[in-house]
Order: sequence, then C-alpha cells, then structure tokens
Amino acid sequence: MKNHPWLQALAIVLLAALPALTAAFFHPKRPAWSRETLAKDEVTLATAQATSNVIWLDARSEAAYAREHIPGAVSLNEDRWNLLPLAVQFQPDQTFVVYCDSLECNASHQVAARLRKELGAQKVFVLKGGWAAWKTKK
Amino acid sequence: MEDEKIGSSRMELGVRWLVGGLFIFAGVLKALDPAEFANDIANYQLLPWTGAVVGSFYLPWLEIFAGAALLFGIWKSGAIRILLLLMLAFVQALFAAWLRGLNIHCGCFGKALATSNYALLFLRDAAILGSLLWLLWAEWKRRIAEEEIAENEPGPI
Repeated sequence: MKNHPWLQALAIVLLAALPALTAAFFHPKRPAWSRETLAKDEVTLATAQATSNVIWLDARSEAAYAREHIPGAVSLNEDRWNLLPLAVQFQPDQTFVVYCDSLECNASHQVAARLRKELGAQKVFVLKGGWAAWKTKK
Repeated sequence: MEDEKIGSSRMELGVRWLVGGLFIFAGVLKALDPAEFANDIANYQLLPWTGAVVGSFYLPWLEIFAGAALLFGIWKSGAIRILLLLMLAFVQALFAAWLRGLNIHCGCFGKALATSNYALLFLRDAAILGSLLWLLWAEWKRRIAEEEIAENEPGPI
C-alpha cells in the first residue's frame, strides 16, 4: 500500500471507525442521540416566563445582542465577562435564565456553569431552544 | 524503517512528529469527552444534532489514527491527505461561524486551549495547514527524485 496514498487513507478511515463504534455504545460520557428531553439545568420558555424574579442573560455575541434581545436581558458572555452589574443586585433566591442562539449552541451552558461557580448562584438555568425559541413563540 | 530508505530530512521528520503529536493530543482530549465535543460541533450550527453526535464519536479517532500514522511513518501519505481534508473542513466551518458572528468555542482541543478569538483560531489552523502542505510537497519532491534515480540506474547486462 506504500504507493497508494488514497488506499492508505481509506484504511485509516475504516480503522478509526472501530473505536468510534465502541465509544458510541460504551463510552461513559457519550452524548444522547436526541435532544428532545430537557436536561437538568434547562427550562422551557413557558416555565421561564412563569417564574418570578428572573434575570435574563444573553450569552450571544455583542452584535447579536445589540440587534435584538429579550427585554431586560443583560449581555454576558465569556468574551466580555463582567459580573459586577449582576453581583450588585444578586440575591440568593435570584433566578437566572441564560440563552444563546438556538438549541445547537453551547455558550449558554458555559455561562451558566461559570455563573454558578463564580457568583455562587443556585438557580441558574439555560433556556431550551435559546433565542430561536423566544422568536418563534413571540 | 521507511524513512531511512527514502531519505526523509530531519526537518520533515520533526514536522511530522510535531503535527502527528498535535493531532493525537487533540484527538485524545476530544475522545475523552464526546458529549462536550458534540456540543462544540453543534455550536457551529452546520449539522443537525445527530450529525454532531456521529462526529463526536468518529472525528477524535480519525485524528488519533491519522496522527499516529504520521508520527510513526506508517501510511503517512494517506495520513497527510486525511489531515489536510480535515483541516480544510475545520477552516471552512470556522469561516462560516465567523461570517455569521457566532460566539463559538473552537472545540479543537476539547476544553484545553479553548478560545473564541477568531484571529488566534485562524492563525493556528493556518500554521497546521501550512505544515501539512509542506509535508505533501516534501513527499512529492522525494517521489520525483526516486523516479529519477530509478530511471538513471543501469539496467541488467
């Protein structure tokens, strides 16, 4: 196979499929095949809207926030991490709901995790479906 | 070893080890946590969730195997081509995310070296892509030299 680079490539591609298949069945940290279920730290838009004393946090880019955001939402993402405005009005029973672009983004989960760690907030949730869910339901 | 026979330069060997090692490192970090990597892929908003899950299981192992092939000099021509195609796909995905103003975490090295600074990400990818193209060029040059030697060798008397 020395002189056939594409045959070598094919062999590597096929070999890599073996551990990948094993991981798909047995890896302890394998992702779910469906995102239909609600994760422990997620809330639906209906639940979030029904909850009182909620601070909305927008984890999208600054430009996206400037274009449009949920009324009253505070822009907070890892590129511009500033907890001061939140720390000033923070109360232990305060509920935070973080959102990013859609179901397929992860920024809100990252911001939520950091908020729990740095602010010690307990009620930090991620809006399932993110901004796209808000726009659809609005 | 194959390298001794075909006369790889020390620089070529060094670049191969560096790039091969880098892909093994990147692959292992992602293979350790496919759930996290699936989120990172989904973050680019180019694939449906199921596609992100398939990628999270397969891509790390492809990187590990191709990286190892490059490092150990076994099937390295095939490995260079796979890694080149992978890098081209990664750069395109990054470019598409940048154009749409998405706030992404590259996910290239799992949680390690995570950055959403596009300039840094493009620079890093350009360096890796450049190294792979250089390896391809070195291989092509050596193949031509081998063919010339074979042509100039005296035939059987």
